[in-house]
Parts: sequence; structure tokens; C-alpha cells
Amino acid sequence: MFKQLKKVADFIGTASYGILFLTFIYQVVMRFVFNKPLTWSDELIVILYVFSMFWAGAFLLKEKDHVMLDLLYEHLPPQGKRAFSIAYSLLIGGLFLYAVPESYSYVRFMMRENTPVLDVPFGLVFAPFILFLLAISLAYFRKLGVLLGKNWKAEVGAIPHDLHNAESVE
Amino acid sequence: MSNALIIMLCVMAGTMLLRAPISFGMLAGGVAYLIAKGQDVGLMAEQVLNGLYNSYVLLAVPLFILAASIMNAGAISERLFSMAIALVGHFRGGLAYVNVIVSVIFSGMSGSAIADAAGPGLVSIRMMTDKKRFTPEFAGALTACSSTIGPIIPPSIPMVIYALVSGTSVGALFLAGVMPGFIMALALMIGIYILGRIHNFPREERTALKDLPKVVLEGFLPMTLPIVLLGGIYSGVFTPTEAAAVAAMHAILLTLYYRSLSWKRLWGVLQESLRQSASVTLIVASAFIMNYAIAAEQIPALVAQWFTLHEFTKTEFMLLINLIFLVLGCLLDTSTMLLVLVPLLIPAAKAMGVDLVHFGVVVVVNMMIGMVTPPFGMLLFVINALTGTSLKGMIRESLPFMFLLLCSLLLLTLFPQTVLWLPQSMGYVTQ
Repeated sequence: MFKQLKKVADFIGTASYGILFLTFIYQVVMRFVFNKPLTWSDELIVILYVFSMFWAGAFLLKEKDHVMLDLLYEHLPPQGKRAFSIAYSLLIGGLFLYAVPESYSYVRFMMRENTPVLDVPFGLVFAPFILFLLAISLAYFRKLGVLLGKNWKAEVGAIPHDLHNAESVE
Repeated sequence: MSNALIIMLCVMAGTMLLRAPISFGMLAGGVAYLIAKGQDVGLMAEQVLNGLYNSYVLLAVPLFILAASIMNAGAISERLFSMAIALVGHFRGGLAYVNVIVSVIFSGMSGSAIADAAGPGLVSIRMMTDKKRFTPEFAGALTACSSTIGPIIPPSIPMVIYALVSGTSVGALFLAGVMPGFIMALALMIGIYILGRIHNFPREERTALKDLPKVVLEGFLPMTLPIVLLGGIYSGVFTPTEAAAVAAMHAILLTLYYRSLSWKRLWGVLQESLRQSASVTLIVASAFIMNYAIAAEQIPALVAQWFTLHEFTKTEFMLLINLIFLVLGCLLDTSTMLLVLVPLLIPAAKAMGVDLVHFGVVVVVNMMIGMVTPPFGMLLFVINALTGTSLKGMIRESLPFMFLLLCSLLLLTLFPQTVLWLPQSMGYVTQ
């Protein structure tokens, strides 16, 4: 069940990113080849952009996909790594969860306002941000649970520098 | 500086040092700031979401990432090698020159140093270490250094982000990167020439004259990409953002032509690019709330005041900037510097009368050099992860090249004309 949901979430994210890209191409072709500039494409692109990025942030990205600085962490003994992980999981999980209600009320407020051309409520475009806050805080509370339990060594296992945590703006 | 700001910076720096993802650290810092200020925490959602929604230019980033992933997955850059070998292979240290030349060409197609190192860079390392021509450490070090050219020669992901935070034109920045990129390549080749004399680097066999047309044709198709890209931008057919999409499409068409990528694999590439794009975009989006706080506290104005009060000359100011970025480049990653430090310094640069395009190129070159400097040198990490070559050995071998890159940086800093000549000749006027 969980795996199925994950697959669906993966598909929604990747598909919206793909459509974003195809819309760009369509827009260039229509303007350049057929000399018919589109009015709606730029808006659709930005909507898909905001949507897909936070959607991916909520459901597709694993912690190791993010850019992290492990200057200190790397040199710590397992217990130190555990302490570090507990500290930041608490901070981030807590602050993200704290931000959910008021962020939600902002996003709900934005349901009243629509995008100028396509008439999509901003609340819908922005909704993945709430899911993102929730998903991340849940993930960190789960991590906290593991770190405080018997199996904590699995959680602090060395994460090698690989391509996945190297994707910054470089 | 208010207490709320100090709390924000502590949460941010603290979580980062504890190894939390940078984007989460910034968001958490923003939340802490709003709590300490007694403001509505919903303001964070507003700043982040509207900031991203209104940053159209930023869309170039995910698309350039997509283009680079498709080119690497479709092995397009590999087709450049035989052409480069035919051109310079027979010189002493031929494959080392090939490494730099392919990097330069690939720079014209991709805007990321990591993509350069992981794609053509890796192919180049394999060739250079084959039959023990070069040591893996030397090959890795050279690849790390030549990959820094990737985001200098347009297109360039960091320059798109710089354009966003500074309000300068992406087109002008792209043009401004061309000369510096070539200067850096030239500097590396001078290094290869000198080291080649000392260590007697191997040569490749000269490509037979009758094979030449075929080899050049093979490399020609991928090379149409930079031409389409830059031609399209400067003739006004498409915007830099659209150019990114065209680049990705061009790459897809090439892989279809070469049949080097299946549809199923393409979906995988799309998914992988989405992940990479999201991790970059989340950092940029998180920076909106942090920069809101920093602006609300009027920190950039204070920084500008400090620089003008100390009566630095323009040159002293730029040298100081270089120093700051080189030192921080050893410790921080590029996105943090671009999004946190650069907005702080832009009002100061303006007040000092520094051209913001020149400033941007100098800053980006600094950050690229920072990607090879330990302890936090992302390019070294990537090569280490892909080939298992020792970091220590690569750092040692990179020293002569780093020295030459620093010389080029000094040249670019002291002579703004090296950077601004090309954009100005195309109509760019300093504001």
C-alpha cells in the first residue's frame, strides 16, 4: 500500500516536471515557427514549477539527496553522530511542525485568489508546500524515534559522498 | 542587529554544522526569526512561495540540469573526444589537453561543474589512466580543475541564480563569462605544457589524414548545441530560460539520432533531474525567507556603509571580496554563498561603483575555485566517489593548476575589461 502510494507520488512529480518541459518547447515552437505567441504557457510553467519542486521535496527527495555540510559530522564517533542527528532532527522537525498551522491558514487564504490567465486558485499551486512541511517534520520525528531506540546505529551509518548529495547549484 | 536575527543565524549555522540539509536549516532559521519577532509564521510560507512563483528566470536551472543529465546519459559528450584527440592528441601530454578542450566545449552545453566532472570528466579520467599514461591522482586533479570552467562559459546555473539575486541581465552575464572561461582554459594548458616538459608526458598517435573528416563529423553534431543555444539567445529568438529547454530538447533529439537512450531510461533521467532540481530549488526558495529577515534588519545597507566608511578603492574592494570568497569557498557550498553572502555585498559593490556583471563573474569564478579547495571541495568529492582516487593525492596534484587558476582570477579582477569587453561590444551598458 505504502509502496503503491510512493509510486503514484513519484509519477505525479515526474510527470508535472515533464509537462513543464514540454510546455516550454511548445511555447518556443509556436512563437518561433508559427509566429503565434501563447498567452497561457508561461503561467502554466510557473505553476508546474512551484508545484513540482515542493511535491518532490515532500515525497521524492531522500535526506541524502540534499546538500549537507559534513565537515564536523564525518570525524565524529558513532555516539557523537547520534547526538548531532538527534539535535538537528529535533530542531528541524519541531520548527517545521510549528510552522504548519499558520502556513496552512495562509495557503487556505490564497484559495480565494486565482492566477490571472488560467484561473487556478493560488491555494492549489501552493498546497504542496504544506505537504512538504508535514512530510519533512514527520520524517524527522520518525528518524528521532529510530535514533532514540535500539537500532540507532543503522541511522548514523556513514553516508559516502556520492553524486546524490553533490547536486548543488554548481 | 536584533536578537531575532541572531537567533535566526544561530539556528541556521547550528543546524548546518550539525549536518542538517542546508535548505531545511534556512527554513527553520526563518521560522525561529518570525517566532522571536512575534510575527505571523505564515509569513514564511508567503515569502517562500511568492518568491519562487515570481522568479521566472530561475526556471532555467531545472532545465539546464535536465539537459546535462540527458547529454551524460546519452553519452553525447563522448563523441567529442575523438575529435579533440585528432586536434591535439599528438602533442606532449595530448590527453591532458584533450581533457581541457572537451571541458571547454561541454561548458558551452551545460551550466554545471558537477555535470562536467561526472560526464566527460569521468570519460577523460578513464582515458588518461588507461595504459598508465597518467597517474589517477593527476587525471583526477586536472579534471576537477577543468570542470570549474563549466559554469563560467555560458550557459551557467550559478550565473542564473546570481542574476536573480542581483537584478542583472542573464544575457550580459552569459556573454561576460566567455572570455574568462577561455583564459582559465589557457592557464590550465600552460600548466600542462610546463608539467609535460618536466615529467615527459606521453603523446598519442597522430590521427591519419583520411580518417579526419569522419572524426570531425562525429564531433560536429554535439557541437551544434552551443551554437544553437548562444545564437538563439543573442538573436533574441528565445530567452535564456527558453534556451535551457531548447538545449534539453536538442540533447533528446541527438540521443534519438544516436539511439543511445531508451524511452524507459529517459523517464529515469527525468526523475533523477527532478530530484537534483528540487534539491537546488529548495535551497533558493528557503533563502527567500532568510533574505527577507536580513533585508528587514537592513544588514546589506550596514555592510555597504562599512565598506564606504573604510574608504577602500575599487581594486582593494575587489581583492578583499576575492579573499572572502576564497576562504569561505573552502568551507561552504556554492548555493549558500550565492544566496546568503552575495545579496549582502551587492549594495556595497554598487556603492563602490563596481560593475555588477564584472562582480558576478569574479564571484562565480571564486566559487568554482572553491569547489576544488579542501576541506569542502565538491568536485574532489565527486571524482573521489566516482573513481575512488585518493583525495590527498588529488589535492597535491591540483596545486600547480590551482595556482594558475588563481592567476587567471587575479587577471579578471584587476582588468574588468577582460570580462566586460564582450558584453559591451554587444551593447551592454554599465548601470
